[in-house]
Amino acid sequence: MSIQVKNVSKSFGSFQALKDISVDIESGELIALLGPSGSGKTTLLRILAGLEGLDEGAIYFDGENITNVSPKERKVGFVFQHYALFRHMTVFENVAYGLKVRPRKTRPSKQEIAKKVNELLELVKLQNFQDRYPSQLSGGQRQRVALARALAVEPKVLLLDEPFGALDAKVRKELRRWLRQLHNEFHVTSIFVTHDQEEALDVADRIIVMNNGKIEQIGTPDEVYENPKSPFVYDFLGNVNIFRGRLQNGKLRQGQFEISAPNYLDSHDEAVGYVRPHDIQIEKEKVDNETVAAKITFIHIVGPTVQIELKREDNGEFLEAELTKEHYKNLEIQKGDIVYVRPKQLKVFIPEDFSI
Amino acid sequence: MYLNSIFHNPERLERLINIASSSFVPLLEGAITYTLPLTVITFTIGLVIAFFTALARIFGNRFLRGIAQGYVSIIRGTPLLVQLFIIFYGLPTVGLTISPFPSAIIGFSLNVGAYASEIIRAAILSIPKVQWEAAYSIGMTRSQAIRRIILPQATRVAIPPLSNSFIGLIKDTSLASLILVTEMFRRAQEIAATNYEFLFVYSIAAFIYWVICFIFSIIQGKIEGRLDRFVKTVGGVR
Ligand SMILES: Nc1ncnc2c1ncn2[C@@H]1O[C@H](COP(=O)(O)OP(=O)(O)OP(=O)(O)O)[C@@H](O)[C@H]1O
Ligand SMILES: [Mg+2]
Repeated sequence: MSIQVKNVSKSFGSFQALKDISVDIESGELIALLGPSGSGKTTLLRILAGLEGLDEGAIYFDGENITNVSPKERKVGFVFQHYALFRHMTVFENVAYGLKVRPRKTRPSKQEIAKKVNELLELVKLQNFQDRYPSQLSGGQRQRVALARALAVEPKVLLLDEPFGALDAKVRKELRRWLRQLHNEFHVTSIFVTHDQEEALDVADRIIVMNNGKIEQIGTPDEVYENPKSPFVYDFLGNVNIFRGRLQNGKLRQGQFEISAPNYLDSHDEAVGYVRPHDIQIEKEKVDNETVAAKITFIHIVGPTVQIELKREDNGEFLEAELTKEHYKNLEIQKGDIVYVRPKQLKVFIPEDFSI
Repeated sequence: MYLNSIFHNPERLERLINIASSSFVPLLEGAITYTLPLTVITFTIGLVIAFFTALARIFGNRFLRGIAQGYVSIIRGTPLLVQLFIIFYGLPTVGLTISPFPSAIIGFSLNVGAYASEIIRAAILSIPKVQWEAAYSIGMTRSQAIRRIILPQATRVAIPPLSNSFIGLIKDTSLASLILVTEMFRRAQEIAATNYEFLFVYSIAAFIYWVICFIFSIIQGKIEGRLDRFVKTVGGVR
């Protein structure tokens, strides 16, 4: 089912939680809703599910205006931020209930329900836990019950609010891969909330980046990562190094030091360049003035990558670089060395255009 | 001193043993034929009243809410003894005469209904909002959500305080003696009035009350233990 959100606004008292939100989602997409805490992700999801009313705007499912349709009739599966399992029911009952409470005409028989529930429990790898109560499950298991419960009613849209929020890194990674597979199998239009950019980049077809109740950018993981439309998006999607200076003739200048920015040909007295740590190149000799001297203050080796913290010799600002272990070995550098740093792939934003 | 005077006086000791053995049976009989039935019947009726009162207060329209609220406020704001007197001694003056036992049933049921409705209301309201939302999100109607999701969980929350009310009620039924119900305490009064052994006879009555309450508190513990087996996290975060 396709979803259109048209100019939706929502306030809680005098606080505006959503400001003129518009999104088009195609049928079968897996969308990540990414943003910092309080940016309105849960609110948007709840409005889509009909659990929260909206002040302005409209929501369309498959072109049909469902703004005033009750949650029950929207056929939306919802996985809550804190699972919200029915704690007086076993795992089996939790999953079965959505089918059991259907009106007699559309209700499957007892055997059909049991068969369906067993299939779902197998899918979420909980077939041996069907008689347990939610209080007897681990966080990851509860999460999977919540997912099975939402899928049991065959929703046309699946909404997941930080489905892996409370889990440890390894389980998160496992579950998100598994969500991707599940999605490939079921083709249910799905939106999941996260504030983990890696999670969003890893599994989503498209990412919606939210901030302060507004949408900052919508695009494929590649688009938002490579071409962030605002400093906020750039900052939010990974670590950054910041260079403030003057933009002139395709170069960002900081005194003698200049960084090439061939895509920016206008002139601005104030500009801010952003560079990802893996686009910081470290050299041992000064060959031109597109590098700046810095002292290595820290070296972390994290598996196959090496993170290097540096302090600029000229202004004392800190920089962060990321190298492969191989490259790091070839460079033969160590803590305390003075090296020359060359920023590449500079992304320039003009402060007047954004509030940086 | 009281005990001293008993044990140094064989005649008095014998008299007390006689009184004990002759009063114990009528007292127990009073407990079994009136105190316990009064408690069980009024608690049952009271729970039904309480349940609908609680539903009316939470889900009712303004009119139902108003009625329920007025009822609870009046019952909680006036002494139980006064309520019993109005029913038994007051109503006959407007031509409505009700005999002692039914009067007691009416008075206590209304009383239990009001207090227990507050317990049930609080229990229902204690169930997190997200449980409702989860119910709606898998396609339940409001009444299905109430019946299948909210009430079962609220029951678990309400049982300990309701058990307390029940035990309170056992003892409160002694007030029925004042509207001539021949329950245990009334019998104790009658026996003591003939032999003047007030301390002794009332102590026997107190002992029987205590034993009954003790038995029920054991039963209460068993019920709660059973519920805990299913749900360890009632009132917890999830
Ligand atoms: N029922 C409510 N009443 C008042 N304010 C609310 C309500 N629900 C949300 N808000 C406010 O709206 C803003 C957005 O909340 P929302 O829950 O959508 O954030 P979120 O992006 O999901 O954050 P998180 O990542 O922390 O879950 C917050 O500032 C929050 O305080
Ligand atoms: Mg949230």
